[in-house]
Amino acid sequence: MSKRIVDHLAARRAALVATIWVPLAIVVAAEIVVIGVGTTGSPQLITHWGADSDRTGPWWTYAILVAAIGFPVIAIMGFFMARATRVAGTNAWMPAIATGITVFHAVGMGVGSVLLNASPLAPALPLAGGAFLAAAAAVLTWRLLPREAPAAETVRAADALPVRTGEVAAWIGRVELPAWLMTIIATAAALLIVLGVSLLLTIGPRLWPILLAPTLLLVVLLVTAQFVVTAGPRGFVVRSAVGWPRLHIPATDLAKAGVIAVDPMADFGGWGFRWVIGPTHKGRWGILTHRGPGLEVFRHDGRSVVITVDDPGTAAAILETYANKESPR
Amino acid sequence: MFVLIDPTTATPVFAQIAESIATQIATGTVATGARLPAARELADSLGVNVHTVLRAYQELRDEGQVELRRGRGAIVLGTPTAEGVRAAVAHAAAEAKAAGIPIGTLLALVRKEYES
Repeated sequence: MSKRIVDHLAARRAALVATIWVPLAIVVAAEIVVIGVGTTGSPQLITHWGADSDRTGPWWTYAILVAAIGFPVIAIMGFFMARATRVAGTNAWMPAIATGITVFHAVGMGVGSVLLNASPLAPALPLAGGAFLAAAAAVLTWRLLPREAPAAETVRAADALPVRTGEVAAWIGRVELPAWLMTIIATAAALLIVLGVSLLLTIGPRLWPILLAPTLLLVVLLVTAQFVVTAGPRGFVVRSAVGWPRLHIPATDLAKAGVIAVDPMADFGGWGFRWVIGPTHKGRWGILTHRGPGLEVFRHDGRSVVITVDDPGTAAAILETYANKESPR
Repeated sequence: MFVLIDPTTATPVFAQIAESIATQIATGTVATGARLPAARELADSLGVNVHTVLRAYQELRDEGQVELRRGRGAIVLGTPTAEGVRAAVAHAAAEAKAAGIPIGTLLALVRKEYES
C-alpha cells in the first residue's frame, strides 16, 4: 500500500485520473492498434477459436468489442467514483478495478487477439496474458495511488432536551420539494405523456416504451414530493408521504444528532435523494430540498442521514434525548 | 412540530397534546394555515393511541384553533395572539424566580388572576 498520505482533494484527483483518464487512454490506444492492424492486414479475423474449426468475422468486430466494453465501464466506474467521493472517502480499489478491467479487455481480448490472431497460441496467450497484465495494472494502480488523510471530527451533537422521567417528547416535521420544481417535473411528465399517446395513436402500439420515461418521472415525483420526519422515543423515522421509501433509525442505534449547514451541491452533488461517502468515511444519505440548516443523524456504526427539515434544532435535541449513548455492540 | 407530554400526571394525555399544540399556535411556532401531522404519525411517535391524538385535534377544533377536514387533515385556523402575553409571562416568571417563588405558586397566581 502506498505510504503517501495526501489531503482529500489531491487523493480524489489522482483516483479520478486512474479511474477515468488512464483507462480512457488505454482504450483509445487499443483502438488505434486494432484499427491500424485491421485496415492494413486481413479483413477477416478469427473471432472464435474452436476445437475443429475457427469462426471468422470482419476485423472491426474487435474495434466494436473494445469500445462497447471500454466506454461503459469507464462511464460507470467514473460516475460512481466522482459522485461518491465528493466529500471524502476516496479509495484505491475502484481505480484498481477500472484499470484492471480495461487492460484485460482492451489489451488482452482486443489488441492481443488481433495481433496473435492466426498464431497457434491464440486464444490462450491473449487471455492469459491479458489476465496477467490486468492483475499487474490493478496492483500497480493500488500501490501508486496516494491515500487520503483521515477526516477531522464532524458535526457537534446538539444539547439534549431536558425531559423529566415520565415525560415523552416527540417532533414531527415535513420536507417538501419546492413547488416550482414539482411543477416543472409534473409539466414535463404531462407533455411527454401527451406526446407519447399521440404517437401511439398515429404510429401504433408497439411504441409503448415511449411512455416509460414519463411514468418513471411521475413515480419519482410521487415518491419524493413529500417526506414526513419524526423524532421521538422510537428513534428517527423518515417516510415518504406515499409510505415508501422509509428509513428508520431505532433509538438503540442512534449515536448522535446535530445541526449542520447543508449545501446540497457542494456536499452531495445535487438535490433530492443522494448518497455519498461522508466526512467520517462512512455512507451518508441526503434528503435535500434546499440550501440551509439541516439535521444530521448518526448511527453507531458512523453512517448518517442528512435532511433539510425546518427547525432542525428541536429535532436534534429530541434525538439527543433518546440517543443511546453507549454503543450497543 | 414539537409535542411534550407526561402520561404519569393527572391531566389527560389528549389535553396535554392539545395544550402543547395550542401553545405553538399562539406563539406562531405553528403557522396559520399549516397542516398538523397525521394523527397516526403523531400517535406513533409519542407512543400513544391514535384516538388520543384525534381527541386532542377535536378539542382544538372545539376551541376554534383548527379545522378538521376529511381527507385533508387538521388545518390551523388560530393566529399568533400570545406575543404580548408571552412577554408579560416571561417578565412574571423572571420576577417569580428572583423572589424565589416556586412554579406551582406562580401558576396558581396566574390561574387566580385569569379566573377572577
